[in-house]
Amino acid sequence: MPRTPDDSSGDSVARRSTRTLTRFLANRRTAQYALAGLGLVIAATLLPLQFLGVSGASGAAASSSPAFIIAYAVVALSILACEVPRVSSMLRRLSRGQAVAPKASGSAIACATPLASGEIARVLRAKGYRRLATTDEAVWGVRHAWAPLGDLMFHFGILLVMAASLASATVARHEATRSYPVQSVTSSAGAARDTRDASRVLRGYTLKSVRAFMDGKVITDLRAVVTDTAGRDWSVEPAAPLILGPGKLLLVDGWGYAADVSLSGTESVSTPFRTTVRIPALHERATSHPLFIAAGGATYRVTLTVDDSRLSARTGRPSLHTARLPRIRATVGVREKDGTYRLVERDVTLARSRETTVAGIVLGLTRQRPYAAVRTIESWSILPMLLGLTAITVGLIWRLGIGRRDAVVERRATGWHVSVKADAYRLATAEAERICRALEGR
Amino acid sequence: MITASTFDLVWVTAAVVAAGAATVTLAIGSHRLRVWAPAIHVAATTAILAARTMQIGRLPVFGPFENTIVAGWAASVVIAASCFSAPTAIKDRLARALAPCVPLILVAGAAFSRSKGLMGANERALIGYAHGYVGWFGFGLFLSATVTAVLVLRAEGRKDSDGETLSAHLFRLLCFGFAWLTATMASGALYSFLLFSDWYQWQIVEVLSALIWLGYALLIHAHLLFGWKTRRLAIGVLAAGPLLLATYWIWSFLPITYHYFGGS
Repeated sequence: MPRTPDDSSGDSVARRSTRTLTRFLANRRTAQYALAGLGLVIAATLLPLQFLGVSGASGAAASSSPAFIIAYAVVALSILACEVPRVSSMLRRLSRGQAVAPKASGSAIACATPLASGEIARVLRAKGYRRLATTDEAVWGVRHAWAPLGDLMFHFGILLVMAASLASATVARHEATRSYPVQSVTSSAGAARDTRDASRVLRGYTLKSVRAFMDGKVITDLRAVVTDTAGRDWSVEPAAPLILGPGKLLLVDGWGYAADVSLSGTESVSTPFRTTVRIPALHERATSHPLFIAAGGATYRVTLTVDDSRLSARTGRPSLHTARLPRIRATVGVREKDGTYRLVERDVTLARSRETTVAGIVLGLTRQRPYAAVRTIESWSILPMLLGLTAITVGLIWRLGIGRRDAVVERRATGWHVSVKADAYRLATAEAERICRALEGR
Repeated sequence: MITASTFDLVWVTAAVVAAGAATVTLAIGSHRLRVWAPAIHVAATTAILAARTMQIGRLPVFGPFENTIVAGWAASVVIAASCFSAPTAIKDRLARALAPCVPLILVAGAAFSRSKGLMGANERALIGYAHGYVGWFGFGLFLSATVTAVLVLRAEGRKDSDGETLSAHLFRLLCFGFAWLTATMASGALYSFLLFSDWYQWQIVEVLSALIWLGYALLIHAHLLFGWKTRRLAIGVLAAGPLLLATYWIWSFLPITYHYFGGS
């Protein structure tokens, strides 16, 4: 179908706009401003939150603010626009069979060597230089010719990490945490103190046992054993997860005490009752469990709260560092005729050694059992993140640790001179001195 | 295993030796002594590190006091390597300027409790140690870069011919510091994911790390793309100095982050 003049102009406008945008994003000044912009957004939005004591979840919320997302996207697009055009030109340049003669450097080192150019080439080869070119007046070669690719690898690694972080924070994630009674608690002396059966099926894996090792009141190690469908045992520890498959992890997330709270009616409650409520896992900050108890014609609301001050400041959870028992507080209200609850008692601390009576209800801690939280995570961010982190590491080692060096040894009126053009991270003079020493047989 | 009092003895002796070496380096103009100072600092900090390891039964890395041990050790190794690999013309000057760094870090340890903290289950991971040690090596590199930046400015002020060489060395330190900082953040992200299933948690340490990473990335790009060197580069590095100190030391003081190991 023939194109109309309108189509063609529309097409060219779109193409021109794309080209202008790409040029803008690939501009080195844009790259600098984008980095500075992201820094400013972080400093303006996320830094103040820290000193207001609302980090963590609020920090995550601030990192999904429009300003942050725009700054983040501009940095990512700028990296993409800068690096993609470099790929083909760099590959073309690097795949050349022979090194291009570098321009004679003004800071060449005079070298008192009696060798001829052929022998100089052999010395350079012995020093790791390849793609050697030799004339009567000069010898030149390149070492680690492909090292500049580390630069590309690093930047694409950053892009992968940025994409994976975004995916992790938005959609590509499924997470489930369950708490399981710990089978045995072992002191540092090795004596088992408690053993319970705790087999449960976990996504095709059976949790066989969870053991905790203690030193004083600190859990120094936590080991779970899971069995797969083939009957093989796998060990899982904190910070040493079991990889179930691509992007799937099984973790022993933490440790904590689950509390059994008994509630019973006394003489003042016309219908005696006794019940036990288990707060299944004390893994969250300030967990609250409202209970409604109908007794003696009245309805009571009992709220059990894990004392926040007992949680680790580092993790926000009671489980990861210390095995001390968290304090549990109860707040009791009684229902009025209008449906509201009148506060009878607020924040009564429950103790194991004694029972507490509030409005005729006897509250007591009957048992606190150790629990381990076992968690499965499925996230599409894991693979790209690991790939990105690997690319960043390899890229940095390649670029900084190895680095490309172009050396030229040329004959001048005063004798042979060595000059080295090294990449930005190497000291060219030091390399030239090294070659000179080899040429002089030192 | 050694007792706490034996460790204290090793710590005080090594700190005094390190301070003595630094004083001699600064006070006496002997080139030979200056070259030996970084080596003495490495020996002193290694002795402290080994003694602490023997005292607590694991490598030190958790808690403000242990921060000063690892920071001192990493800084001494980096400074020695930096002085050794630097061009001959600036070696002497670098050794002299960097001499007070290690004793100052060790002396800062006196402000913190030396009691042995127990490690929780989640802290017993190789990646946790890797994260800590890689991080402190990065700190050593940036500390050296910051001191070198002062030398660059002084050389520029005196129209010294070594200004360019110092600037090249500064950029080298900056690049390697950036690489170690990146590795620190990468290992931290992995560790964070294993423990909390979050790659980045935007607590105070992460926020400051992101800022300092962006700051140094800007300086490296400014050098590569816009030719920033000598005076401009040095001023940039010095401007990032307070942020550098905050990033690496704030979690020794501020208990609002899970990086804080001053107490549970």
